[in-house]
Amino acid sequence: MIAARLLRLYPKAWRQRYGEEMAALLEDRRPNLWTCLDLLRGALDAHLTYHANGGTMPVEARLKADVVRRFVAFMLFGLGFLLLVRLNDPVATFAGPASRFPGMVLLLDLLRFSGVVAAFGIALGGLPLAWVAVRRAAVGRRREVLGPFGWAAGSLVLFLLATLVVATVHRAIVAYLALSLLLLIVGTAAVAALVLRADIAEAQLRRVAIPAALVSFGMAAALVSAVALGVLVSTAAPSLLVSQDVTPATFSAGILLMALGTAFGFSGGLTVGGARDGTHLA
Amino acid sequence: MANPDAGRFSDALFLVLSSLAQGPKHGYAMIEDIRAFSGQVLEPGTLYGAIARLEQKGFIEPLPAEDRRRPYRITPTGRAALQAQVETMERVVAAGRARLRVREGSR
Repeated sequence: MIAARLLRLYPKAWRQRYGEEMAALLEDRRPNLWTCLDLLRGALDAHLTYHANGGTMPVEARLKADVVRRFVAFMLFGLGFLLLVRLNDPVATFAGPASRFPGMVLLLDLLRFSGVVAAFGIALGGLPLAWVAVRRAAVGRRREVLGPFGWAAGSLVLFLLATLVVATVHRAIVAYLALSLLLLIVGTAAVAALVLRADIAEAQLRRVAIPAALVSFGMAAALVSAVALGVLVSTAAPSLLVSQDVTPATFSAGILLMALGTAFGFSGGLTVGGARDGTHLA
Repeated sequence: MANPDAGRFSDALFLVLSSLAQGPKHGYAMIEDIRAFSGQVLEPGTLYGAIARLEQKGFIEPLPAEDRRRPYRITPTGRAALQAQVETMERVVAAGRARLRVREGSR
């Protein structure tokens, strides 16, 4: 059973404490797709926030976990976004249906604009944090922080180089995609480690609230545009879904990844407890 | 002082605590109870995320497992936190009702 296997993704300490009763609960209910997605989100949440020794997690640690959750959500969203944005390539093929259905162009522009808004929010909130974290780590010579920074920066540089090469030679696309996925995973994990280990003041962590709202808004708007675009294209111009860059499978996967990222980005209010102190319920 | 979480009546922690205020329950019983009184279905990942947090805050405590199913019960601290949350929400609801009445009366 897939749902029961997903329990293996939870931290070991969590499984020792709750694994048996969660497995029993999954046997009592009939798990569906939402159950599996909820378990995936719960496993990541447990890795970020669960303290096996009990006690309320310090506010600073919870804020850091919240920042990491939002970043991971954005990366998931971004992966889906990249699968969709090349819908109008080749431009000549897109031009015909686009002239008959102007809404298609509008939705594609909205999708791109909203994605850029979300990326801007990530840069606005993330870069100052990264600067503070790396500067302090450099002064204190903290290898456990500088190491992940090196991995994250290296992944980004390698990705940019690979993109430049592929854009020039137009070859080895599959290898490029596989490398990009690997770099995305390594880079995301490195950024998560960097934030969780870095010395960042609570006040600085709280300043990401407005950029975080911008990211959430951008992701939600992009998702709505993508779904509307998907409906319009599949009914009015299904031929656009069969090109060198887009297929029905990649388009659906793109929307699913965007939805997962957006839902995960919004999920903190329900379970992470975000930036609140221990006096409130959440 | 106003509680900033006042409007969060759909929150998983609040739902679990409200369910356990009636008496000890294990996971499946909580899901069914919450579905009955709120109409919301908590999936296992969300439910156990809430259980872990409430346990770490000392708002609930585990009882001995019964055939792999472990019941939980609300602690006095948890009852007090729930009480405070409910009172805040009641104040908000009362204010909302009063303002709606004023608005309707002015038409």
